[in-house]
Amino acid sequence: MTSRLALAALLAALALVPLGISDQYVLHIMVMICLNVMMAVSMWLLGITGLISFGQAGFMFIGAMTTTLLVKLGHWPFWVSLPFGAIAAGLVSIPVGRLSLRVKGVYFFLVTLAFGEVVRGVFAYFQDPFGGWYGIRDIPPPEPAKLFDTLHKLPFYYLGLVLTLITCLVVYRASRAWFGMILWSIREGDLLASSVGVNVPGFKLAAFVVAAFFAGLAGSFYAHYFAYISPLVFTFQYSVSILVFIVVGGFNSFAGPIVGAVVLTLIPELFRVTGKYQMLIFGLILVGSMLTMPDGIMGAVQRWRARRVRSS
Amino acid sequence: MTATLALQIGITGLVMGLIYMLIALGVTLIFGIMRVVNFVHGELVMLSAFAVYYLSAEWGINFWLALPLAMLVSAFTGILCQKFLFRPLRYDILNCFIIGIGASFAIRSGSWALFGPEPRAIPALVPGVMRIGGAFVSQQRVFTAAVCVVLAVALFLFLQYTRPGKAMRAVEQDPEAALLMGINIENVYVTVFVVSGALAAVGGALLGMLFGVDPEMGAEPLLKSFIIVQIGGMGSILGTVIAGLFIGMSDSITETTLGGELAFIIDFAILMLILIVRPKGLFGYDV
Repeated sequence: MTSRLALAALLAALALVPLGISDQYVLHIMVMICLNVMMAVSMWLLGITGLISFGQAGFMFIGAMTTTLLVKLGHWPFWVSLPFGAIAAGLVSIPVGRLSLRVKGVYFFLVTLAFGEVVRGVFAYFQDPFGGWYGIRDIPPPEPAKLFDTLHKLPFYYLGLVLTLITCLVVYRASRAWFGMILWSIREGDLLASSVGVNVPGFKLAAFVVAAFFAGLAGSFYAHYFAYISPLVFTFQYSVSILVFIVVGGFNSFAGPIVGAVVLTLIPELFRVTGKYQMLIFGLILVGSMLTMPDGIMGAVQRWRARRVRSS
Repeated sequence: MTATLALQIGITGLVMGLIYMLIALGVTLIFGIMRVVNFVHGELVMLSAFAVYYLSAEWGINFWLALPLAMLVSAFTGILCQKFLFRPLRYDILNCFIIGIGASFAIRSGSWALFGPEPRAIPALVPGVMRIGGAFVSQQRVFTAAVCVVLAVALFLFLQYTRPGKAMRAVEQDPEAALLMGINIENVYVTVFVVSGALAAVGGALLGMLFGVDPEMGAEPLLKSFIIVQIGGMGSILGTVIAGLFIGMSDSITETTLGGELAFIIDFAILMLILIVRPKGLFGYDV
């Protein structure tokens, strides 16, 4: 009951607090947190099975590119092309998943990494219509144009919040339902799961497609929020940083990726004043958190709670 | 004319392939023996290139003295990583991967702050150009290729015939059995990092003489060595040598015919295809 109330309070705060914020920079950070949470949560769903896809940035790029081309060349309305970006990423992920899921472990990390780089390379190589290394500028904002003004980030924040909540809801429900239970069982052992009749390749593929779908959705939103996409954004480093969000937050619970994405989006911003030492501090915090909290922040919180219960 | 061009492409590819192979050998050693994907390896290359640059170009120490010192720096950094990053995580593959990324971020941006962005160059050891059957090759490149071949052979002999080398192979085959035979696994791990760091140092010095020294120089060889190690099969020395030469050749051909931008994409495409046909790499085994 208390957790229900806490969730309701959190949602109310997320909906109402930004109304009182007039600083566009703060709102921008909040939109960035929405994007990162979407990416982290969708990657986490596949991560349940023990597979890490380093191609998430590639799927994000596919989503962003699809919606951009539909809006700019096809003159489709934003609200139609937004889901199409996600669908395109999902469709591409089916053959990619079928091929890459044949390998396991570290090999899967590196095949998906390779996939992400190939996507980036193809978009960077063809100037027309993908814009090459220069990327694509002047992507129109969502309609109605009066509401979504690039200088006022509040509507973007609400759009991002809604998309993030949809992503979180779907992934949370999926991870708690029979679908998620099967994914957890695959993590415990492929062979064991298949011996009790689980279609292991099929469920892995389903998780892969769902993860790609939401990465594509995040990409669509990204394209319309920044109005600019380029191969320099959707890099392997970005996929890695999403993984880092999950691991620092904690792999074993749904709150892990969310907490990790929020904390690690904020930390570099807090250290932005340190200028050229920003990434240095980020790296050191990452190393420190791995050494002190191998199960992530949520793992540390759980252990702390367990200890408190035992001592009281 | 075309024969000369083909020769030129072949020689360039051979030299690049050999350097990549040298750096990838360090990655594959650590992976084969400890099951750790060492993300810091690229930064070892970069740090030792800077060490050689400062020692030889700035402070005027003889190159042949500066190189062993750089190898010490690199090996020492490697040991630090092993002691303070990988061992506390008990060599868990995913956690080590991530902590390596963090350490590599920290070292790289630390070097940006420390050394500054302007590129420097280690002066070439053997300046001049020579002709090999119509193709022009700088003698530095010939020297580089020779060093790489000598080191690869030395590594092979080391693993095959010396006691520490045999201990490494024993740990690679079965850590527990090796432990029962009285091999101190932690000591073997330290040796692995020393050897791998030394290889990275030579790679860094050679790269620095050919392409200059800057804080980002470790990133590309690291990605390349991941591709090479994957294609060859994680942990396989022979596979790494063959895949290194193969990637060097393919890069050289793509760069001359289609342009440098495409080289990386084609590498990755080759990697994807090979892993799909043969998931363990050419000479690899299950992880």
